[in-house]
Amino acid sequence: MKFVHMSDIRLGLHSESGRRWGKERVVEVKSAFETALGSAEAQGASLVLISGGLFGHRPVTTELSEANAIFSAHPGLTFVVIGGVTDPVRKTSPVRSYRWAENVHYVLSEEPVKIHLPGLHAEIYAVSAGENIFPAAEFLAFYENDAEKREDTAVALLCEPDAKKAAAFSGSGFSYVALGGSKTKAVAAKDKAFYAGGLEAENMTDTGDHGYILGEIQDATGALLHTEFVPFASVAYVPLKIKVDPSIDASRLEELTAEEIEKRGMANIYRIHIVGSRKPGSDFFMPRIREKYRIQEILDESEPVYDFDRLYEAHTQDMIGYYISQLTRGGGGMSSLDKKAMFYGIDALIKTADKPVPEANE
Amino acid sequence: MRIRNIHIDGFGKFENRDIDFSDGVNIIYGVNEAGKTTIHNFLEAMLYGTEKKGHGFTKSMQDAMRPWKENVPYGGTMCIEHKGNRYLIRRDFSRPDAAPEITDLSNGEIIKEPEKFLSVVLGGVTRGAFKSSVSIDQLSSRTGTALVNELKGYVDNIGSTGAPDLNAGKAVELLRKRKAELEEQIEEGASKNYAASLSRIKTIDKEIDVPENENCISECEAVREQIRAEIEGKEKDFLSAVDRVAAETGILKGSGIESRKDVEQWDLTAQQLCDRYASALARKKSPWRVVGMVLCVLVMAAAVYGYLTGFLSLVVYAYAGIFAAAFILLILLVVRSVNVSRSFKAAENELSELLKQRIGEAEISRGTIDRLFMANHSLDGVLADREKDRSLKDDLEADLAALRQKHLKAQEDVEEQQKIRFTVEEKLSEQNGLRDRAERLRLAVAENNRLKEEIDAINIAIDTIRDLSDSIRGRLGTYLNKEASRALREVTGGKYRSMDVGSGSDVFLSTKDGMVSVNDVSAGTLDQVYLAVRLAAARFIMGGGDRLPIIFDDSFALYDDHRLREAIRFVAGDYAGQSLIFTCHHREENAISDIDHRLIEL
Repeated sequence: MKFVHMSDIRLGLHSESGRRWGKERVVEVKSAFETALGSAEAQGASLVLISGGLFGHRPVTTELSEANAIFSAHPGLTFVVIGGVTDPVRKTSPVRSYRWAENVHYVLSEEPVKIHLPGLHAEIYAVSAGENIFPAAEFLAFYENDAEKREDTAVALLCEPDAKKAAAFSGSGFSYVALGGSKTKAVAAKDKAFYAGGLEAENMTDTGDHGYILGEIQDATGALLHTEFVPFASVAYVPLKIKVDPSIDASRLEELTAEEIEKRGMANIYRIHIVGSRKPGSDFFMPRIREKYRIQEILDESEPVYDFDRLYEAHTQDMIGYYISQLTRGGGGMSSLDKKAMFYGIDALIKTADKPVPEANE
Repeated sequence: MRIRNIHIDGFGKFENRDIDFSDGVNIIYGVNEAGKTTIHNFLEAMLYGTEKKGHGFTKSMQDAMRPWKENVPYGGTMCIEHKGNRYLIRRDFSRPDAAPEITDLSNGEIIKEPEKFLSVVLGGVTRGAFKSSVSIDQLSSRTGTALVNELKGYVDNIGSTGAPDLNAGKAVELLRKRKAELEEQIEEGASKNYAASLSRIKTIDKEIDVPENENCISECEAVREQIRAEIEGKEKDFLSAVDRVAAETGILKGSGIESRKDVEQWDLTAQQLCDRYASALARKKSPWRVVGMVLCVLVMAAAVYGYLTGFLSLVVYAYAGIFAAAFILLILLVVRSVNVSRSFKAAENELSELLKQRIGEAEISRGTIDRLFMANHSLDGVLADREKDRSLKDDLEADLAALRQKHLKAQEDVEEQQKIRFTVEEKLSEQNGLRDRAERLRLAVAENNRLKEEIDAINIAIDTIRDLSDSIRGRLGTYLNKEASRALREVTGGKYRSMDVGSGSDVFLSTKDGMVSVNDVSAGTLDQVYLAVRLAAARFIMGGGDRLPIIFDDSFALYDDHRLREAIRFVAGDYAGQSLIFTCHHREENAISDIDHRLIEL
């Protein structure tokens, strides 16, 4: 029996809802999920284990219906879903009274339950996260006490964010342990217990692989034949460093940036880091780039290219010289705030001067 | 420092040219394009090197002053006197980055670190300061209020920034404007709203997860469904019972029976009628009457016969009596027969009626009588059934009432749950909306912080400029006022004692009789005050003292003859150091024929 283990799909996620493209992202995450299921089915899977985080927050009924519509579109797949850290199943949750399609088993219990799937020759031991997360050790105990009644291959599905605790599953009678509670793909117990990682990247710090685990269990013996990680994510967070010099003005910078972004893919999300030196007065806000592409942040660490030393030399007897000296005294280097103040003051003095100021490099 | 002489190898239009300068006033005369500015630039270049960068479209001095002819060396020498000693400065402008060569003429030694030496000689005056203060270009032709305003402007700038072209006030204005632009972009209350959103998200969680909100709507609906099914069943039963009772009542009513007593009565009546019929029939059937009647007739006949025949020897009366008796008896019997017949008819009718009534058949027979009693019996049964059915109906009714109550309660429970579900969903939606809002606010807070940092930097810049401006104004302003006042005193022979150039919008001069507006001072006096201030500024730059040559580059071109003479006279009188006056007019020469000076013609 081929199965798929996914977690942290995070439908309806909020991490980019402050952005212009925030809503698009939510739709993308949903499409990614649908595509992943399609590809899983194409690869011959018949069981889908979702170890928590299907939703990015406790879902309301309309969201459950949307998910149900997705599940219903794959009648050939059997879904077993548990609540995770972002979408726990509490006593008050709407999911408790929701009627799922026939191929969906949504675990509502905060205590372990056993779901028998005779068509797949499998028994799924599962527990949802609710007020608390059910401890792995007690889960194992439940399984052990159930040993006599076992008929088919046993698979576990639970949320256990601590990989060390999850290591307790090694040596247990489960054919496969689908773990949730961590967004990083990992192996908690060799050939036994796995974290699938999330399906899509959620923010800039969410590096690491994204995708799902495709595995196969031999029906007759219950042996785990193989597992492979199928990388998936449609959108990546990309840090982009751009070096400037005074010859590059704002519109040229926008051109350069656009080139780099187009090279790497317009759908990705970029954090742009500008370094180097710039012509004083250049403004690298890049409104067109922000409008057209997905920019998480533009960090402008370029420094305006006033040669403050030469300016000082040429203006020891006037405000410019005094200003530079005032801000640089005290030794020990200038804080970034001082550097900014230095630029603002000198720039203002130079711009409002009646005649061009010597050594101002304009 | 004094400039003794210069030798130009090649600079601009000049080639191999020598010029000597004297202490005091030097008038360098040349018509337009004669090269005055070139000489001026040469002096600056010898002291500071050529300027390599131009401004905008203006060529740099380095390029502009390159000799026109080929093969002419680009450079020259300048002999200066500093602290009693003479030095020769040599520069090669074709190698502008090379340091000048300075020779101490007293001992022929080359000065090590020539640039530092020059800096000392120049008293630390920078090229910029030199150009703006020590070298005075065209002075305004303005007079009166315009001149005062220009003076104020000059003093304002130089008084607050140390340079006439730097404008502390405008710089601060520009910074304020930039600050305002940034402040406008700050989203008010973003961080407060962000904290509030986060806290509300937590609060909503607490509001949602209370025991009352537990999602048991499925169970409630199941309970309600079960009760409903029960009610359905019982209603069916009830309706059947009602139908049966109605049917039974119909039957009973049709027979006029209301209760058990009626049935008993009926039975009784039936029995009575039957009995009566039977007895009537029996009586009717009884032969005895007929026999009696026959006997009577016989007796009567016998009587008559006897009477007639006299077979019995009886008195007539006895025959009459017997006849009469028999006749009466006969009548009685007939009457009786009639009565019996009548009462039989009646009984028969009654019974027949009864039969018709009860079993629909009027005929009186064994069969019908049997059926009559069976009907009675069955009615009894119907009555009993109706009793049972009635009681069943009542029970069911009671059950249904109770069940309906329960159903109502169950329905209320479901509705209550629906309300709760709705509220929970609304709260979850609100929470999700808040999460989105919080995320947006987080970005706004980060942006606000970035803007605030920029604003902080601007504030530092503004404060620094202001502080520096105040302190410069403090020193320079005081100095300028002092100098201007001194010059004013001297020039007016004590008539005006002091002036305050730096403060307020109007300038007042003090006389021994009180304050006078500067607008009321004579033009000539005003001129001299203005010059005095310019000179004072130059002195300030030089750190006090008249150390450097003051250069007037075509400064008095716009002055009339009289003003001109007075100006030069003033400078000659007031400035103890060397002054170089470049002019294209002979006027200067003529004007100051009585002042000690050297004339240099280009």
